[in-house]
Amino acid sequence: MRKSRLRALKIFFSILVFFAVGGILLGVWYVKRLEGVVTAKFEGRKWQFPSKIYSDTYLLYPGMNLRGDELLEKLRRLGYRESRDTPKAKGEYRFLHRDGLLEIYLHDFIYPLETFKGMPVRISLQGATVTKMENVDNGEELFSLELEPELVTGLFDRIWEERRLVNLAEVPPPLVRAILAIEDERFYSHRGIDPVAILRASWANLRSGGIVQGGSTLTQQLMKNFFLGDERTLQRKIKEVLMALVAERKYSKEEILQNYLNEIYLGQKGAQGIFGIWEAAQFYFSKELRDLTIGEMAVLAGLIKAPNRYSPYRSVEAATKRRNIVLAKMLEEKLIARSQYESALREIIPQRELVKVANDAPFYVDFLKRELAEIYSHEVLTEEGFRIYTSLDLQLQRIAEKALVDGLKRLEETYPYLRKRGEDDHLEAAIVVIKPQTGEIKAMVGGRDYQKSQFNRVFQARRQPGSTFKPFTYLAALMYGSEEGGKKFSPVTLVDDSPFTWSYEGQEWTPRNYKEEYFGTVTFRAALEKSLNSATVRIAKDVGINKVREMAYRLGINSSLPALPSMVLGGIEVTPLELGGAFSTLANSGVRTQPLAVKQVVDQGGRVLEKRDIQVEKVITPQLAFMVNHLMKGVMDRGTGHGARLQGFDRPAAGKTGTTNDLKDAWFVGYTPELLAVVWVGFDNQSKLGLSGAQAALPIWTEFMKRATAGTPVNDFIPPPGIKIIDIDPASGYRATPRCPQVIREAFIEGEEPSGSCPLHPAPLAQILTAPRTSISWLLSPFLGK
Amino acid sequence: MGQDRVTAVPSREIGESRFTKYLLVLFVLALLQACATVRPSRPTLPAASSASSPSPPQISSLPKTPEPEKKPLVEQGKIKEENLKERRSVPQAKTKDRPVRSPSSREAPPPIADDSSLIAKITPRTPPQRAASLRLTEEGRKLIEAGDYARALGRLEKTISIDSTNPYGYYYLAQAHFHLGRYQESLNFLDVAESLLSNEPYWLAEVFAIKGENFRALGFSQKADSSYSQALRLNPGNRMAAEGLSNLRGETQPPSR
Repeated sequence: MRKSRLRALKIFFSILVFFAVGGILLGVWYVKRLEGVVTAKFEGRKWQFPSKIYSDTYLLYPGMNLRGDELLEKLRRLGYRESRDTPKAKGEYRFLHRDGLLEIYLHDFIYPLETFKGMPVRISLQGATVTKMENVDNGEELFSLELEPELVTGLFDRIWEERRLVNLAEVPPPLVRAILAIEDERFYSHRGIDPVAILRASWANLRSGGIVQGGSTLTQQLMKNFFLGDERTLQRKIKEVLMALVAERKYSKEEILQNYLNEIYLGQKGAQGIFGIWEAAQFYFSKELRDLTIGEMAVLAGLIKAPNRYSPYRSVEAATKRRNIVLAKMLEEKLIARSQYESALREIIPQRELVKVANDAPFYVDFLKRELAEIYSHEVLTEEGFRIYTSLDLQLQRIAEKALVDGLKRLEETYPYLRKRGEDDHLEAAIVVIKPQTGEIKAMVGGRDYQKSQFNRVFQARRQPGSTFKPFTYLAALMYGSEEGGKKFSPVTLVDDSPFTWSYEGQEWTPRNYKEEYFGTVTFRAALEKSLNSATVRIAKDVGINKVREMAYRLGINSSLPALPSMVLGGIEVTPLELGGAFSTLANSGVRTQPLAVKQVVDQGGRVLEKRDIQVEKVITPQLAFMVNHLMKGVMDRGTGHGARLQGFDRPAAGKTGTTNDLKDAWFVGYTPELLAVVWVGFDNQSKLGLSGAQAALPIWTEFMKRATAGTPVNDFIPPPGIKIIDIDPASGYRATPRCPQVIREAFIEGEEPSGSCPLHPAPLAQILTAPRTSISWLLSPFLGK
Repeated sequence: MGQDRVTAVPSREIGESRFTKYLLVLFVLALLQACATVRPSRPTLPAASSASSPSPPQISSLPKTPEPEKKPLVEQGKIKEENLKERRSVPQAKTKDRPVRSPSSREAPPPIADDSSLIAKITPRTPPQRAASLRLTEEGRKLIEAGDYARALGRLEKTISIDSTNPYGYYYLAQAHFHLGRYQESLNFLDVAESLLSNEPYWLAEVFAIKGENFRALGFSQKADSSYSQALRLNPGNRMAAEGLSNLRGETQPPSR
């Protein structure tokens, strides 16, 4: 009996020892595994840094006209706060309306290749015109001033963590002490867990019947943030404790603290999460860490427990109460003197407006992503924290988006048959805005609602340009003349707009005019202004299709163009972006530029990885460009684009309507010397639109241009040397006399202008005698020669 | 059905009788007026005109189409521009005490005054965009002088963004690109600068001088020579052109035995 009991005991203890040893081995293995995880995190990449996309900068100069409240809105969007007194801290501004003075304390900003140090400036305004700018510190007059670009969006994976790393040495000691005082007062004495804090918290929770206090150390919080979720389970807690102990064994207090200060979540700015102490100082106070006051440090320290509840953006009162608790703790721990405590209590936390990054310009951003994807992978873009500088003008972007959406709504109200007829049958449009001098794409709207359809019609939709393709024919005609016989064309050349059939390579094609209206003999100019198909095709036939095609390529059409007669009337496919690029060449006096969206890519260290420069190429003479622009001004003033004038857009501008034969596409391309916009309207599924470019696209273009150019200087196309502008009677094509009922100012290559006066309306004798030169030179022209 | 031809510029016939009547009444007046007015004589083109300006830059995207038989209007336009520049540059040449000379004179052209200061071009009448653009151009120029070409580019691109008719912005962009070894880009910018500079021989000479530098760097000796020569014709004092030409001719001279 005794022997069997002993044996049983032996077996029992053996099993116990076996399990104990096994448990210890398992425990050791588990801890080793955790150690590996912690080490990998501490010594590897800890955080992902989303790349950030910035708009273009905003340049101010004396004499510049501002669009209404544009500058003040811009300042608000950039996070500047209005101040009642003279701005004393970076990020403040004051507008003295009566005196016309705008005082701004500019932010610091890191540009590619240079860092801008913020300074106080004063801008004098007379109405909407900048009259003077000066540096308030030294009184130096400033002749140009650049406001930093706006953050458009970040490229992130799941969540947007906004963070900038700092070393522990860069964090002011009082701030560190404040955080430790409120979050982990025995940080330097414990080994990862604080039994005293745990006991205290347990007692508090027991008394209240719920979880009202936490006993976690800083180290535990760091482990939780790095590796573990928010779920409150025992298993997770045990893991957290073990990892904290491992981390404390392997790493110094300073390393743990530094990681903590860079890791902690401290607020939300729209889609952006604010992480790390540096970001928090910027977000709440627009200050560098070293410039924070004791009170502000206490605010930040108090936020850790519940960033959104104690956020000054949500409630200044709650933020103040929490700050005061932290200050009391700091005083209790003798981290600050009583005088500092009282002074900090008196600080007023400013009520600030939260300006979120609203992820503006999603179509533009998509376009950028495509461009960037050719060079960088998604992982690199979402982790490496690049700064991407672009040509985007957010003001123009907003104007374009509104014009498009409102324009389509108006069309649907006016023409009820255009209203949504199915999921895939929704009226759509696209706008692209280009600065012709530089090729910069200033705005891009690829559709009416990005949330519903991300298809970007600006560069992904290939549609027939219709009549917008005609200017290439007219340009080729002016440049080359007719293929046979070498006859020259000028704006007053008479062309035939009667029905005809073109036999080409064994095929026959009969171009038809809009509404089958034919005008007989018309001038070159009239044919373009009225967008006459038959006349245009005759000209193209005379000039040669290959020349027309070459001209389109020369100006910037990249799509392959078949050398067929239908090409002349736009029976090919192009994107709005390339059409805009081609017309930009005309707007830029014959100088072709490359479309520019991404301008620079800079890494976190400030190294410029990618720089796209403005590229120019003179492809046609400025004289030819001017002549075609001058012809297309007539489209606006008298022709199919006249609706823009009736809608109140009276600036000098050139343009061309576009309607496809099957009425599926409506276009308008128009430009001033400084700004070009292309508008397309239609259905994605190729349903019939039934409206012309003048009816559907022109109103949207006009609305956009009116608002986009408001307040800017009125500039006209400047005739280059070698251009002669004279008054012409369009009926005869000769120099106008005082009797001519209709007069057009026409541009010619110098030496090719008509020398004779209008024979249909000869000037009376008295006028000939008093103004003999014109008549006499006409009379003598056979003797003097041209 | 319709006539498929394009009617050229018509020479309209006016009834002979009407023509004769007018002629009789106004003939005397015409003679008086014709004697009173002096038509400016068209200057002859310089002998090397066809080689004086570089051919347009190659456009890589163009399909290879055969050369047109007739001289295209682009070239005609170019010639007319040069005519105007030739015609206008001579009377505009700033000389101290010497009279204006015609380009057909065999004497050496007068020295051109230094017109390099951009800030001096800003007067109370200068439009604000041009003034701002010129100041930024000056900043760009200083950065080029300091050798900071990358930053200069950034500054100079803003100049044409504010005022695309500022030829100096394009000129200095060309200079920056040249220093960065981007010769074709430099030439492109110079083309634009040239078309914007109508009666400024000093600056036109600068443009041609850098064109010469670019062509020389690209190995196009003949074009380089023409450009340098054109620069010196416009401004005999242009040092870059003089040195460039001298170096070029030294390089292309066969070695003496």
